[in-house]
Amino acid sequence: MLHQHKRGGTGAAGDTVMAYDPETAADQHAAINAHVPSEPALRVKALETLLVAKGLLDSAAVDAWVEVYQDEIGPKTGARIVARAWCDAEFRQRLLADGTAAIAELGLGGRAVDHLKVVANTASVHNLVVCTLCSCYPFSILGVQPAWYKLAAYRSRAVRDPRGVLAEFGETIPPEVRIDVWDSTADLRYLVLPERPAGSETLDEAALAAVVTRNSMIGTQRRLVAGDARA
Amino acid sequence: MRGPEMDGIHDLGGKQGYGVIAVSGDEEPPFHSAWEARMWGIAFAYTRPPGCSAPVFRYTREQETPLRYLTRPYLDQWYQAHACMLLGSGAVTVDELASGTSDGGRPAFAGSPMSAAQVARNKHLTPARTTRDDLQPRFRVGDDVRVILTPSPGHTRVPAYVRGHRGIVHASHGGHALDDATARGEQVTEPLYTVGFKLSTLFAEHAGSNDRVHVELWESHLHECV
Repeated sequence: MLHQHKRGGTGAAGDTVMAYDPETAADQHAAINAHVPSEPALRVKALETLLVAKGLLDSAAVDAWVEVYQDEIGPKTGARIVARAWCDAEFRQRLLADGTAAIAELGLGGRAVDHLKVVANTASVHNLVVCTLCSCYPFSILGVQPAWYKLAAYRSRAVRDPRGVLAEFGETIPPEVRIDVWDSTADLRYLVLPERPAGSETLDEAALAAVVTRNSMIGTQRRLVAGDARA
Repeated sequence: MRGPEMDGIHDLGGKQGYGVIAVSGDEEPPFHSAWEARMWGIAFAYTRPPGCSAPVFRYTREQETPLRYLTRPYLDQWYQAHACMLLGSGAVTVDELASGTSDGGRPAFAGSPMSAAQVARNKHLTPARTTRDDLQPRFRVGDDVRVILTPSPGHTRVPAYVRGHRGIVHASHGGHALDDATARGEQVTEPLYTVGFKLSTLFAEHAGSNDRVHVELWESHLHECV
């Protein structure tokens, strides 16, 4: 399916690019499917062993990335951004103007957030984020996507039936509130800035961050509750 | 003979019949098994063959048969796409993928693989933007535009549900690498826009709705609306 070719026939080193040969696409997928171990755990293990033997991978780096996404980067990362925006009106303005630059102030960034667009919920607008074509997600600030975000039911319906989708997450959006859906088809990645919940005036920034849920930053949850045990 | 395909199973927006959503909240763990965690880490850490860009990765994943695309675990689809890219680059053989044993030497593109120390340094390092601000955008915010009906064959980031539809330019982002071309191994930069569509114009059942969908589209995906 993929094969190497030389751009413009120059043949210069570094000109080799991956390009697509659809004639062999099915053959290559089929060859892999027919020959590699049928258990995902075994074929992934074989891939790791092979890449290490080829000098393309250090297993310690795999361990490190797994630890980062198990224990460190996740919804709590995004929640820090939201809580800061709730507490600091000027930060909120900078965040809405250039999300990537604003989160760098908090020491945050990484892959997939080089064009971060933050969209704010208001009394009259609710935002919902999807990637209908694959599973684009600002993982450096929200962690690994939830399973439903990657599956056909959500990807197909978020753009066609956003109110029905939200109802399945327990949210009835009043008719006077407009829904803005954001389909991540290019380099932009979206973070929803939920509304600060009523009754949270006495909470400090850390306590506010504990109120913010992953789904509220994707837009499948609208109402947050101060002191919410769901977080 | 097969030509380049663009209307694959992956283009799910607006399709019907996929049922209810398996809702989860913050209690869902990042990984559901040890192999999922390993595959995530491998994808972040391994030295990719030259040219294995995100668009090439997506195009490769899109070539799964529809049945497999819809049923295979997500990170197993990552396995498949990375295995295909490695195979296509000549770095590995099918036998090597099957056995996990290397029958040959290091590929020419192998340097020093990413270390654990580099992970610690890079986890919050944002890649430099490669956008260009020297392109004169043809459309301005507020312009009426219509999406082309026939994107170029092969990989495209124009979802089927907006093709031929009228929208309004919501934001203009400067010159971005055109994913459709990158997937073909070409380098093309075009102005990128966020275009807003009313649900009422996209889907008949939403007549009268004020709800909107926004999609990022490149300049060659759009016509002037007259």
